[in-house]
Amino acid sequence: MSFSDNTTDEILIEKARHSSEESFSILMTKYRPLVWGIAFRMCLNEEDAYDICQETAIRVWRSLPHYRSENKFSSWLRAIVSNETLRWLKRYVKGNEKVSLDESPEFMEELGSVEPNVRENLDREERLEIILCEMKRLSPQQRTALTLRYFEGLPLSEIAELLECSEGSVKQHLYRAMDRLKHILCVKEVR
Amino acid sequence: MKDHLSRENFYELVLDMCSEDDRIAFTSHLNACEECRRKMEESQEILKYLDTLPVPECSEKRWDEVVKNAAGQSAPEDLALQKAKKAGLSFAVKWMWRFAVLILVFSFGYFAGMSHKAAGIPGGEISRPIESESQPVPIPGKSSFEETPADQYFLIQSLVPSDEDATFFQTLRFDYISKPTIKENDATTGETINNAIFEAI
Repeated sequence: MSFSDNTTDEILIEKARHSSEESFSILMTKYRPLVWGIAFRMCLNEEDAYDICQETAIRVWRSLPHYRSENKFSSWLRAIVSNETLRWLKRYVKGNEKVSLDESPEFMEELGSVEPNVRENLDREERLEIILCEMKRLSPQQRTALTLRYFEGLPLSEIAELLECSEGSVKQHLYRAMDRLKHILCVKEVR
Repeated sequence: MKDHLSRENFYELVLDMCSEDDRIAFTSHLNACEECRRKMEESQEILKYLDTLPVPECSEKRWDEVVKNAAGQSAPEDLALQKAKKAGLSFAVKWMWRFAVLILVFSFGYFAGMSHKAAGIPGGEISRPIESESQPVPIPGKSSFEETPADQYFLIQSLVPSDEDATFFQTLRFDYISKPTIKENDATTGETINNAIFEAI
């Protein structure tokens, strides 16, 4: 982001702080791809992503007086949307508590019964469907860690802060997430 | 590197989580080891699939609604004020009732003690001053004892030769003591008057 962008942000933020809806709208529209990208990749559902964006926008509007200009606005916004999505995911998981399919012995048996060559021949769409399905089965922490690390390129320390755990735990979440995704992609065990 | 890379090593490499030294070591191993290179490609394949996950476009119309709804909430400044008020209120709610309960308990304790004392209930006697059960202690500025008229008469009678004189001096003494200036200010009024009687005799 260039200097002028930062300056523009600062002006917009200052105006939005003083209840300028127009400035707030411009500011949020500028960062729409960031908010939408994180929200959708983490919840993997369009309607839910809009809900998360709504919660995020409300939180940003209300928290603007507490925003400190020494932090980058994009980082601050990313933290808010990640927090909102994580909260949503936890709520969602709590509301849909059931045995994770890939942890159930039946599922593993079923998966094992599919011939490797058949699995490898799954076409792209099917694979996408499977990976989408498997992504949804990741725990909120695993999904958050993966999205923020891989898609957003956040350092482990920031993810750890967001998830309120150590960097080692973040790594563990990432390893497990990759392991789960690997099963569905029928990639041979990497050991 | 003799040993093959572990699964963690592959993940660290593809997710860019390893240190620079590790990266150099892992890369040099990968260049030399066909098996690890193949496994590394498999790990990269997982992420390639993640990349292919379609992210739908966010509708501008809906986004505008989202922003409008958010801005329709209380303004940031109002919220800051509301928050401050809420904080003040919560402080009052949190602490003032404790203060009120404390006063109530003390008041109750005080009045209960008073009523016990008034009713002569043994428990109430505890609060009675210890002096009331012991000998009277002379208080500076006050007469050490109370004289009854009979005491005064017998005292004067012992000093004067006849009963008439005793009556006269007692009346005189009574007049002196009745004078407020003497009564209030002179701690030894009785003694002074007695001396005066002696002198008169």
